[in-house]
Amino acid sequence: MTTAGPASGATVPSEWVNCWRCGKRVLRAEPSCPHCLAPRRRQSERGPAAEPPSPITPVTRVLAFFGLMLLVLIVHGATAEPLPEHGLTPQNARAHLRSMVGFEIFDAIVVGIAAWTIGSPRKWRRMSDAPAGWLWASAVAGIGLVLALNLAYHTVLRGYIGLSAAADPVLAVTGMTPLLLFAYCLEPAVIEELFFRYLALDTLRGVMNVHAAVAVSSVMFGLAHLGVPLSIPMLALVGVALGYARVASGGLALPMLLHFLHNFVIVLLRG
Amino acid sequence: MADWMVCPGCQLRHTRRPDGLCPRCKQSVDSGEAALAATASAPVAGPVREGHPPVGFRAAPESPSAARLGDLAQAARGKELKSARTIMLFVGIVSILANGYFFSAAASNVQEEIDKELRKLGPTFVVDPAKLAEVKSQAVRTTKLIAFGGLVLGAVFVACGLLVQKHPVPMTVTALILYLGGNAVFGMLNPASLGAGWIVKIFIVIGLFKAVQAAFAYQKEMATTAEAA
Repeated sequence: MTTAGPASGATVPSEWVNCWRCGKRVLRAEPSCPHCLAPRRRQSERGPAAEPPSPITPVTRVLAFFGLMLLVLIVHGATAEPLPEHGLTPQNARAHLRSMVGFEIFDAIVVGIAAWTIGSPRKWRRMSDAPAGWLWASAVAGIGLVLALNLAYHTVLRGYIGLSAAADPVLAVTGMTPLLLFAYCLEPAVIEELFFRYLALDTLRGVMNVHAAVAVSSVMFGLAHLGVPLSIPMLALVGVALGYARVASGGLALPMLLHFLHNFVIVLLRG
Repeated sequence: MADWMVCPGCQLRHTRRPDGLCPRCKQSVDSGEAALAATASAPVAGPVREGHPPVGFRAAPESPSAARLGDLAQAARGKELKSARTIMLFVGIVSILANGYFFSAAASNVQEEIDKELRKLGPTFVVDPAKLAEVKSQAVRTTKLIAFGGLVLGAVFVACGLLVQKHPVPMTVTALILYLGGNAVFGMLNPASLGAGWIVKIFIVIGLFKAVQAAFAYQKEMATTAEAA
């Protein structure tokens, strides 16, 4: 805008300016020209236009990373050497374990990139007002119940198919080593909780109610265990328990502990 | 956006002033309230043409034209959700039919696979009939369980399709997750199934992704409308 417009050709008082587009006199205070509706200042004078909101929302990023995780699992399943049915040597078992740890480190990197890309989800207030001690004690009791359900489910499943309970072949050969504990219990408890109970659950809570978010993140958690397709329904149920532990406690420490305990008991039972 | 009004005395078009006076002739503009409705639209850019809204016209939210624009956008999102519903119902029904077939034909399919394996091993290979029957029985039951899982998955898709208008975001997100996960699970069990019909699968994934985005916008608009009401 200029103070002397081409239409009038005369100097105008300071409260009046000439429109940069039509040249007519306009009050300086007006946000836009009442004659031609042009904004008071040109776009170039106003600075860069605000960028339109990105259609890639955090939820779509979560979904995209979930798809990527499934792809990584499929690639790992297709490329990993299958364990021999009989005569697994300690060397084979250790090699299998190392390959598993390598894959889990890669998985952790994917989750790290996901955390960096998705960003911190909104912080939610803890849902339960119960004292922390009582909450943690009841959560541990709850995971015991879920474990019992898990064992019952797999017993029924094995009975239907006609399979006998078999020990984990790697565990049977290597025994309880720190590497095995890391691969079976610690890494899943930390990395899976970070993705499913922090990134996915907290992001989903922003677009749906808490129960729906827990259910959807649990389905994601169940489906992420592609290697054991018949256990997916039960694992989704475990995910529900861990999801509510996260929501009730407001932190990740409780679901991580419960996940670790769950996996640890399974390892002990299969040893 | 500013409220525009026309001074009844000097016809100056201006925004409302705190003192209620025209900035040029200093007359009260309260009597010019009637003119407000005609000029309620907030100008953004572009000249006004006779009989046409200005270029870049953006209506104030309370104006009828704004409501119509909002309705149009919402109708477009509703259309996207209807497409998503069609996709979900299609995937659900196909899944139910296919897995229903696999469930009922599990025994014959397993027998076919066993025969194929035995042909590969050659006529000199001796099979223990009791062991073979046991393996066959286990394979049939496992196949039936997996097919039953597929049937349930199909039913969930149909349910998502039926409920998508009521709960757009949870249903579209669930459908997308189940579609990706279901394909991954069946791909893990049978890698050849991953490549089968991949063009259709890509279209379905894109359709569901677009439905998720439309559902966000649809739900947001519904929430805004509810708040305004």
